[in-house]
Amino acid sequence: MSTRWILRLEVVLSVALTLSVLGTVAALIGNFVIAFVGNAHGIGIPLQVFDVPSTGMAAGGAVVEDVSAEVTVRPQGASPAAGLLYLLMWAPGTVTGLLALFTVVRALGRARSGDRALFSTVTAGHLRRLGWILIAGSIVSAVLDSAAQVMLASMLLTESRPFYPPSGEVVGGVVAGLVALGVSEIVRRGLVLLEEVEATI
Amino acid sequence: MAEPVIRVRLDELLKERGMTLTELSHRVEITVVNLSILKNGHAKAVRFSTLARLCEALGCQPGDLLTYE
Repeated sequence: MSTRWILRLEVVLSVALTLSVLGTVAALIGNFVIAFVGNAHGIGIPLQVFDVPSTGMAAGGAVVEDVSAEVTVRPQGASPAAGLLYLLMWAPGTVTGLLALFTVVRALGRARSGDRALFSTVTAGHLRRLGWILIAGSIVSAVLDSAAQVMLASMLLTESRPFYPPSGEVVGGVVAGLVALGVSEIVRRGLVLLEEVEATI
Repeated sequence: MAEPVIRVRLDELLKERGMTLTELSHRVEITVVNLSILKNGHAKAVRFSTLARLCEALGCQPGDLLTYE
């Protein structure tokens, strides 16, 4: 079986991983600036605001309700607390994504060098790890993101809510994790069947 | 506790008939490697067709070839 497509996918994902790591480093620098330097005109902290005035937005015969928006808040001067909370907002999700991508790249690398390409116990193991990374990482990052948003909003906005709903990414992450676990189980059971067939004389 | 196993009495039957594994391999058209796997109890399953060919070559019944321990 040709493994060229695996090699190509590995190269594409490796480039994506490298760019993601660079982006994370840039975000960390931005975070450091917010915490210890202060940037009146630079990077801001995105926060959700609710009940935004919407007078005049609706066309005739329609009513606009429950308007929410995302605003970018820039603390004036250095703010270590804001920097730390902002880090909690984005870093867990980013780390989850990077770990997931790294696991996929590693799985592809191993699959390319193996006899049976993707259909192996190694791939099943990698998929299982990927599944748990996505599930645990998505849940943890959603909880931390929500908690950090509550604290940041109370610090930086005049009005805040006791709970900020996590984004839809958490559902996507958990579903993707469950899919990875499912595929891992399919591969594992398939290998057991294959082993039995091969050991039949 | 050791799990009960099905043992293939290929060694005994070959000895009784003065036949070698290679000779049996030629008669039943199964590789020596696979016959060794069968003989050493490493096979997970045996096809009826394989069993029939072995019985024909060794002049025995399936019950003579397999024992439950």
